[in-house]
Amino acid sequence: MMDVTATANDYLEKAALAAAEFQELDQEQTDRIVEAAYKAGFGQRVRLAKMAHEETGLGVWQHKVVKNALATQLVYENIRRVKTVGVLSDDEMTGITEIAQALGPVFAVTPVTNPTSTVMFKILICLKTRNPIIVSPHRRSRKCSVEAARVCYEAALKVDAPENCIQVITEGSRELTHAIMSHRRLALILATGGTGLVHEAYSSGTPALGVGPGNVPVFIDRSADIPFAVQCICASKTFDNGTICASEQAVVVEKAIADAVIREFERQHAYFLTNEEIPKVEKIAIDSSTGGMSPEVVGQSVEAIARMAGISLPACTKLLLARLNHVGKDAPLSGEVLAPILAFYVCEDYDHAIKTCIELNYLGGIGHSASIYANDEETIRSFAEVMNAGRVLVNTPSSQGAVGSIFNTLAVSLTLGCGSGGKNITTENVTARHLINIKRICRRRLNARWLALGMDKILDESLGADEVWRLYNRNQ
Amino acid sequence: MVKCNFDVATETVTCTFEGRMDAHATAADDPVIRRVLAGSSKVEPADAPFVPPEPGPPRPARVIFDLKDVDFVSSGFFKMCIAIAKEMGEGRFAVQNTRPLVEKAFKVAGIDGLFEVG
Repeated sequence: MMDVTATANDYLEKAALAAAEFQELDQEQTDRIVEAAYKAGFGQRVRLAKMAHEETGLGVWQHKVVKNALATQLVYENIRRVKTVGVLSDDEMTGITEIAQALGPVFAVTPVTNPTSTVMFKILICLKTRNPIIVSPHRRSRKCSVEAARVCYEAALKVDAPENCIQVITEGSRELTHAIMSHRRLALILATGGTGLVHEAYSSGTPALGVGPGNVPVFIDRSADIPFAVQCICASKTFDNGTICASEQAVVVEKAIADAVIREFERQHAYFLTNEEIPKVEKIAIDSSTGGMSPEVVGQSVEAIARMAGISLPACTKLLLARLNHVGKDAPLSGEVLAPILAFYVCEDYDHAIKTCIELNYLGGIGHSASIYANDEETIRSFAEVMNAGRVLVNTPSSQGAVGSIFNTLAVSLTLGCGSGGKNITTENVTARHLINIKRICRRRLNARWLALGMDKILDESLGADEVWRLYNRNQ
Repeated sequence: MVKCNFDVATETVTCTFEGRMDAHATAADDPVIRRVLAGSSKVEPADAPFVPPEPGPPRPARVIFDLKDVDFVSSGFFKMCIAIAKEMGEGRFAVQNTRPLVEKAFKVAGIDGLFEVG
């Protein structure tokens, strides 16, 4: 049996040595390593995608190629000019000089849904910030994740990256994960995975950047271009069979445009489940013991889902929609399902529709993402006002939009912060700049007004805030 | 001022509020609602001396707060909702017709699980 403490020590000792060596690299040397890893990963994007699909049985291999390209090329493009070594800024006026410091060893937990892309994304942002990375792949995708890490590591070594700057856990266990997470030499955990794993990372005592669950509502407003909206939603929800956590989970429309939206979905090969078929799909999509989505259905095609549910579909169906009339645990498909299944709500009016989006948002996706199709700025703003989301995506496929760079200028990332609602420290798309400590040299710059005010005024308890404020501003 | 309507057939009191339910408005409406819930139809000012309630409609089986004309709710209003929900018992108090911003306020307060908010 594995001695988890010894194994954890071994990983961290190697990582600490790599961290020490990393400190000696300048920006140019660092960028060369990142470039080499990116090119190697990008070069293997197709092979790794096929491996991931074969090993996990999830998603669509062609879409995984796109994810791998995004996680290498677009991530590289996004971070290549970011300064992460040495002096970041030097302001004579304020007297503040900012200097980047590496964090130290990073423990990167990666999910089964994006097993090669997330590995390469995390490797690139760690290398860019001179932090050694220990990758912990999901047990169902270990082989392809290990291979993705190996490809990047070998390329990095060729341009003089520190030995063991990338390590992968090839034989994982819950105990080993826990031992590494709570190891005194570990600097940060990059936790991308389920709620339990993220919670464990936060409970370890080591700083952690985690993610939260999503339950993305998409509201199609009267002002929206309906065919365009439906096309985007279909493209987003069917991408890699819905495995991206930012993909749409429920479509919400007003009664006034419902028929037009339904017709358009049907025209674009989406299928509305009948009242008899909905319970059959619920049964296989939702784990009745937990109330959460069933792992069996994650990343499966509509054909596979139909087979599992025992229903027959029209030819060319690419997306399933379940018309529901309320949100909650008693309407199982109103929760998150990472598969090409969408809930569909028809609401009496605008307020009812927005309230339904709030219900969906708070059912299980607080802080993650929300989506709206509208061409009225006031509607977009009022929708954004009531959503608790790190990203409110406008006229954009949410799965591709939330990860950034393709449809907007968000930082490209496969770790989407969900803020305090998702129990995370940030709502941002996690990227290289989150992986550096910034040291500030603070030069002496006297606050002459404060000093001129005089301590006697501060010590005089008869003076209130208004009086002191008047004196503070006198002759200024 | 809150308007309370007692539906004898369903033994339901529907209290309709309007405008901003800030601390002041809530404090003004609270005794009115209390009297209705106690089974008295007589409405007294909040600072009126207490007199035993006159016979009125019976104590309601269910209470509904209708917020269709409310655009702000204060923490005092939330407290009143919680108190009435506890007093009435499970499933016998509900908040209805909230506007989106008010609905979100109930979500953020985390009390939408204590009673029905719609």
